Amino acid sequence: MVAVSFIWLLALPHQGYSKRTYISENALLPGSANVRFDYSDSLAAEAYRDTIQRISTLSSYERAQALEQEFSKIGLKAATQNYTLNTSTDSKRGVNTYAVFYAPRSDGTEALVLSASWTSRDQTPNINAISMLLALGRVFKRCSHFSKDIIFVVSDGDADGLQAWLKAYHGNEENTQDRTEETLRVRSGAIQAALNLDFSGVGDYNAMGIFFEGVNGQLPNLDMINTVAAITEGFAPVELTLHDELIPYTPNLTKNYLNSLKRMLYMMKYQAVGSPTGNHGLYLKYKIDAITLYGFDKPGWHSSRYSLFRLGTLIESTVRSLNNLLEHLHQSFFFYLLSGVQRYTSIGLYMPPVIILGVSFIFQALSLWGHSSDLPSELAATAAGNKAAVALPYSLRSRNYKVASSVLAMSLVAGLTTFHLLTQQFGFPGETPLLKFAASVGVCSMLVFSAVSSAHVRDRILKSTSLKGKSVDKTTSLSSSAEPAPAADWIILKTFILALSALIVTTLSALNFSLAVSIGLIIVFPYMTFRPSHYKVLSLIQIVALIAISPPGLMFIASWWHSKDMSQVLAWVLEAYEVLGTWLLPTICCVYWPLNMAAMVMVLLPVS
Amino acid sequence: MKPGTILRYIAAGVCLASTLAVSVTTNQDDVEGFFAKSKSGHTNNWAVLVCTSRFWFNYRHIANTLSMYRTVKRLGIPDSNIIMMLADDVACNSRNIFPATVFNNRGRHLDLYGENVEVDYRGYEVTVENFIRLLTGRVAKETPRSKRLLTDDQSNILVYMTGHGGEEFLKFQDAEEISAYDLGAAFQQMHEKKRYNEILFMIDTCQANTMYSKIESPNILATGSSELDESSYSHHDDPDIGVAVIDRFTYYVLELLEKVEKGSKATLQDLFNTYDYNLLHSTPGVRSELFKRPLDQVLLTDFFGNVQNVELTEFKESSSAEAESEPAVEGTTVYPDAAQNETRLKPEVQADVSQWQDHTFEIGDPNQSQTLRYALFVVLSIAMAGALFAGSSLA
Repeated sequence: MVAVSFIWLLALPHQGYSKRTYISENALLPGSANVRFDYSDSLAAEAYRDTIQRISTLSSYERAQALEQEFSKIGLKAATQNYTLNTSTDSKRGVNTYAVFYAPRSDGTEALVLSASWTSRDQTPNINAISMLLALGRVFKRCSHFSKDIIFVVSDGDADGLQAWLKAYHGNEENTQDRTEETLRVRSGAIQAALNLDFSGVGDYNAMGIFFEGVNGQLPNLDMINTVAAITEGFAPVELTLHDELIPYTPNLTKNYLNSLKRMLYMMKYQAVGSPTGNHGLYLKYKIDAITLYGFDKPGWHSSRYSLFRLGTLIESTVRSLNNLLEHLHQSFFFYLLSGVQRYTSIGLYMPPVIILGVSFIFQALSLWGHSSDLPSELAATAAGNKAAVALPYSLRSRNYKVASSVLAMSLVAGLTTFHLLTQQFGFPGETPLLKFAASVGVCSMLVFSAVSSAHVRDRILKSTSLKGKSVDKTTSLSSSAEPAPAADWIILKTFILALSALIVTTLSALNFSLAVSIGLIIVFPYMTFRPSHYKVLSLIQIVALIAISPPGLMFIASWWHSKDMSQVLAWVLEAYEVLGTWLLPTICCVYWPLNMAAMVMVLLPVS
Repeated sequence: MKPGTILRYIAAGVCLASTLAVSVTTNQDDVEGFFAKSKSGHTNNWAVLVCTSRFWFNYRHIANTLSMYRTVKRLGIPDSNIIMMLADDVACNSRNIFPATVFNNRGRHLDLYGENVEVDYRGYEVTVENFIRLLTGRVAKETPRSKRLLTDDQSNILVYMTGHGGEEFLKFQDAEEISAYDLGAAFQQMHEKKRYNEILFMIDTCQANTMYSKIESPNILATGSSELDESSYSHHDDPDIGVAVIDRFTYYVLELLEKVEKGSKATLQDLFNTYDYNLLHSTPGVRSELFKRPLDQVLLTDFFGNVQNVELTEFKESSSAEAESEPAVEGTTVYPDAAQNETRLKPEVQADVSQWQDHTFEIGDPNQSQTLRYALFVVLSIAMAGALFAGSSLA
């Protein structure tokens, strides 16, 4: 079953399993309308580019003010918003600027958002994107065909700025010690869709990437991506790709497969981690479909370069398509895996392997459960030992839950403790996340050590008492042999671990498929095959493997892979949890780690 | 005067009289033919134009319907005889870059919404129920005249529908659908109630030909844009408006109709001959077995125009009395319970059939009256000839 699930998963990127994407929502009509963005608007965008370049070096507050003025000059209603955010590691403050274009002939109940942050994903000023917003504002002001208002948002900071703006827009602004978000003064209707622009620098680009994974692996409606893809194939020809990877097309079947696999793995990586790949991810929390368009320049790539002119037509055309929407995007898929801009695998095809994986856990747990009673051998023993004895239809062997349940309970408590240790502020001098992490690792290893040693001690005591008992009444040994010793503790514990793993993998697969698959694949071999052994070397190997897949081990591998400091990785995970509310940290601490600890205890339990 | 000359006079008189008589008797056909340019026998024309689609991206369906509206109006059907159902108002949609206009061509020469468009059922009023009530005449008492199909057995009706359809159904506003059976039943009821003389049913939608497959009533000619499992396609976009502005079938039907004037002799056969798969990208269909007249004798203006025929009937004392009783049946006041209404109406309807037959056809054998007339003329002319002869001999 595990093999089937593996093969299925590997087959997913293959051409035969994915279909070509198509526009599902009839209302969108991508690229069917002429655009108003003309050469003079492109010149205006270039002029704005100089302005933005000048003001981007100012402080948060000053540049926000300057931008507000620029928006006002176009004739849009503009305003700024201050926010502060204190996390356990950092204190952030910034000023967002936003402006609303009120559609002249609509009722103002719906809106679209065009946003850009001051810093691009490559940490350079997002100059082209912001000047594009201003130029588009100028274009829209001339038009009368909008059914939705258009909101322009230029957010400060990374994700925190837009998060603050979105919270305030939806009336969730807070005014606590940790967070303050100023109430918005200018408003519009319900946001239907959003485009986030990320075009850093002042130059041209030769490719455009789409980032779409949101918080906790949420995805926007596939029609969002389809619309942009359709327009780039039409009158705004731009080399479009997923993320920032450009992989040349090859007719070679194996290579093609490998490329698809690579793209799919990229997507799954982003999805599993659960922190958004761009500011678009924040909209998804509010059920607003959004993507980030990222312009980048890949030297040596064959596609033609595009300037602000083509970019303007592309974005205006996309906005016009979205303007045609009659309701939220709902026709196309919300659950999909992309192996290319125009190839998708639907949920019906990718769910079975992970469910099979979960079921295989359950099956092994059940077989172990049966094994722990060991009815057939018991029957054989009674039949051989005493002809007169009546064979019972059930097992006499008792199961001892004490060790298994206490180990699981303790490891869960330890997991929760680590979670609290990591997220709480204690106010000790020199308190850093790494230190806290070290403390939690200490807690966990202490737990494993104490559980294993106490189990061994208990086992010894039990053995000695039973030996004593045997020596005392040797005459009645016949009756004692009829009552077999209870099943080994490790069998019961392993049953529990496997059952819990199945529960986690299947439940997670519905919430965040990629995370479920990665957890499932990491734990499937160790948890299924590992067992206590008489050979010290084998036990040692098993323990090392379990440590490698434990959270500290994984973190170490990740930091080594990305050649970063452990503390950086930790800070990033913590920030994602505190700022955006991703579930990665809680899942790891409260679900994954306890199971890992229990598995370690299981391996070190007496064999008996 | 010699008897020979007298005989010659008499012979000449008889010849004259008989030719006169012959000319008079054949005259009636000529006269009817003069008034009734076609053999349809209708005296009034109605049009029911239905667009069942909502939403901005279905602009073309609204344009289809408005184009048809313009055509039938141009060919003389007055607004009072056109029932137009438009589900959505794209003209005033905020997405319309040219507010308060609807165009059916990229050239935008003709604003279909330009002047004096009368929409009888608008927006959410376009429902299957309202459509069937309209056809069968089972409308509520307070319904204004503009929302009633006040037809009689002398009415030729054009029923044009467009929207999104499928196998044996047509969607109404994404909310409900009318099936081919509903439509067939509605036409059957119209037939029973003598609400039409002839119907031309024209439909432009995907799998349109399935929609008329369940019509069983006589004198209905049906034509559709595409057969089973075929889509109907739009003709072209207007890139400024940003949507497709007309469907192929309607476009090519209109192409012919634009050349038709009020006095045109073009027939439906001419229209059906223009159907071309290469242009339409679908297989248009015609169902004519319910229709009695040969298609090459059916003028387009019998349905798309309002060329009035005058019916020549013998003056009869009783006919006026019958005529007065007739609106009571034809108006078909609606009662809340439809089933009750049916049972109540039936005897009346049947009684009405005989009345109408009396009314339409002359009593007695027409040939017989013709010979009588002939004899009368011969006698009269002999008498006249005698008088002439007497006068001349006196002189």
